[in-house]
Amino acid sequence: MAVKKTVPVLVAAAAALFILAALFLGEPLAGWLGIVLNWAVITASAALLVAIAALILTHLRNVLGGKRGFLFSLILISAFLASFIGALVLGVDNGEYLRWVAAVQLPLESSLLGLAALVMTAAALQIFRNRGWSLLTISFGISALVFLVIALGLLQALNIPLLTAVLNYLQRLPLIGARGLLIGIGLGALLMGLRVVLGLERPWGE
Amino acid sequence: MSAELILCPHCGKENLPQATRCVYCGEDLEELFRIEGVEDNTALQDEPGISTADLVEALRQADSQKDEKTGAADRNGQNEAADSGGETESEPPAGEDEQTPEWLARIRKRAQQEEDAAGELTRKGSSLDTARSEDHQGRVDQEFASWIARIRENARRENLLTPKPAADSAESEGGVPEWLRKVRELQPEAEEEEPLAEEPAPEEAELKEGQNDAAEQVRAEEGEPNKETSPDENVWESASAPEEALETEPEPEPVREHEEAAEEAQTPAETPEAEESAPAPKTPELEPVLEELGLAAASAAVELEEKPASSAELGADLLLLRRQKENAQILMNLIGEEGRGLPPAKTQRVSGRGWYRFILGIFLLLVLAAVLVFVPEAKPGQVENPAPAAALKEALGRLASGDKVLVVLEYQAADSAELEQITAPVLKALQTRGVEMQFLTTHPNGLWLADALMRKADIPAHETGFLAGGKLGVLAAALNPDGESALVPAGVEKLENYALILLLEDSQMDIQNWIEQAGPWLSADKIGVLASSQNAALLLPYYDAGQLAGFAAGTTEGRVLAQALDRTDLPSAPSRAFQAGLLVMIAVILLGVLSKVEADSGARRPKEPEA
Repeated sequence: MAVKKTVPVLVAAAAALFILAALFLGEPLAGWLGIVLNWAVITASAALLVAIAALILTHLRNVLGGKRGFLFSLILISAFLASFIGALVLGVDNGEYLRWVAAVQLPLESSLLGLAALVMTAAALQIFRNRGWSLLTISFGISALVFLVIALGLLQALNIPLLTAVLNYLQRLPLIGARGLLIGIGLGALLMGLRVVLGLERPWGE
Repeated sequence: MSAELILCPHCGKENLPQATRCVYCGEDLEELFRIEGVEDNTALQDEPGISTADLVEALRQADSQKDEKTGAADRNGQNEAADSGGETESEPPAGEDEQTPEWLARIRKRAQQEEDAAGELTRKGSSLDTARSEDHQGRVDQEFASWIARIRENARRENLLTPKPAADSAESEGGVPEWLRKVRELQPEAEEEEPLAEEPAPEEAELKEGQNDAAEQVRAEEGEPNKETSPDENVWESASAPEEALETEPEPEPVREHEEAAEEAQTPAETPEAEESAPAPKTPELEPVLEELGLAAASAAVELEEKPASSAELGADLLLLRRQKENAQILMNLIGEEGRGLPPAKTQRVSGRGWYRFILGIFLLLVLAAVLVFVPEAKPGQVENPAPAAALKEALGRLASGDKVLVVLEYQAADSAELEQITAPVLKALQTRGVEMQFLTTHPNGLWLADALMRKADIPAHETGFLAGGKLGVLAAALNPDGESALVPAGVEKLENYALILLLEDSQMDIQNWIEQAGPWLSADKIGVLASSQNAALLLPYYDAGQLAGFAAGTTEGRVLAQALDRTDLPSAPSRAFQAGLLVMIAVILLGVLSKVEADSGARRPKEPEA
């Protein structure tokens, strides 16, 4: 059991330290880094294949067992087989095959984004009624209105120097939040990496 | 070893010399403890006229002539002799050596010869006994003190927990017992609903039974043990509780009889009927008894309050009990309502408000349509691009014929319309200048999205390479020194060899992958970005840090960029649709604000008549 717990930690720590060393030292370790990356990509691809197999088997069991919602499982398996067999037969560079896939995927993703926009719109409609008047809701409403109007581009079309300067100033305001967000992401990634290197975090599970 | 053992005179078994009882038969072995040289104590007992006082006096006089140490040994030896001798209390008269008994002389002599012979064992034993006795006494004192402290603490707690009216006495409030007052305060309605006494006998029985139940309930809720006693007995018990706590002896029978008689005389006065009627006649035989017991006032009819004037007059425990009952009732109601559907909301519709909403909605839609139809689209020439877009335009302007540009597609199909509108003029301008372009994608979608993009840009079809591995693939491409890495698609050179890497992005994560994984291995001005509008804020810090050559985000900046590159942007349907979407969002937010204002005014309206 100790080996089972220790070996993954050692492998992860060694890989992380090697990548760090390669980044700091640069060219001397660049060749070795390419080899290690090959290993990692091959391993990740094999894991992806296993995940796909597990997904298909799970939905296959749902269909064979007649479980609730098996119709969706049937659709998933059919779509997977059609894409897989089409790419095997026609090739992934075939123009007809690419247009066929794009014709399915483009409306689906557009509908999904449209749905997300509708949900956000409904939330914007309800936020004042549900949350009442508060500093949060009022500031949300004002900022949303201001930046939506700016994004329209109609005010910029007026070409008034003072207004343009104000708009440019307002457009840089999100920079503050973006910087904070990026600093938070960087610190979180750094701490997470340290925890993995030190064996305190095991993202691969026990 | 066996020689040191002693034999039990009763069973004849061997025992340890220090044993005081036989380990086999349990009989005392004290009689075996003899001081050497004292064979017959009975002879000493038989000597008449020798008292203990005389013996002590003789020893004191004898000891005063010796040194202190020897004297101590002597006293120990005498004590030991006295202890082991058991009932030996007689001593020969002291004062003269001639009168000193032979056994005492031998003891003294031996004590002088062997300094501690007599006291070695006894001193240890006596000191141990002394220590034990002191320790024992200390423990006893400590136990006693803690016992007293516990009693006081319990009494103090009882005083604190007892409600104030009850604290005065168990029969305060004009002699009404505490349990009866609690019951009445708990059930004022029941008492009000009870008719006046026309038939006293059965009602009395019912009331008494109810009182019994209520008193048992009160006792049970207060955590008292459930005793099979009548309420009247409880009254007596509560009244005499302090006395019982101190002395647990059973009460004398005559007193008990007096108490029962007093209780019987007291009970009619406690009934509600008796409160409204004349005072109950006292039995002449019981009067002296009641007066003797101090319960005469209790037997008198007293006007009692049926209900407390306010909840503040109730005891804290009574309020708690009432609240518990109410909570229990609420819980039962909730359980009863479980599974039933919610009742329909009873909202009063104000006449005319539906028309008001309809008109408001129509007005907003009309404004929206008017903006889309009548407001002219912003002309690119009238808009000045921000600094990042201007920097990207300069980077694109530096490209000459033969320069290599790597175009990386990393956007989803849903964003293809926006990205194609931004990118197509740029690609067309690069194609016109003779810039050599290579297409790469890290998303499988990019394989067919690239085909659509090339058609939109009206440029010859290029082969699009697929870079697998996500972050790792980007890093491998950046590290690809000879262009021979198995991970990097064929034809893709070392990234440093490209004059510009143009990223087409709609995701912040993909942008970070390139900047953080490939950026350290590239020059500062190698990466330019064409992105969807929502990524503008997150790209700014990278541009300010010098990690990007420039970027243009959104259709507006894309159109300005196309104008700067002497290219006309694509037909503006997507940009007008984008504006329409933004207008819808603005209208919805305004509707939400108006709806809230309307709801607030509607809620304020019913309150005004009350005011």
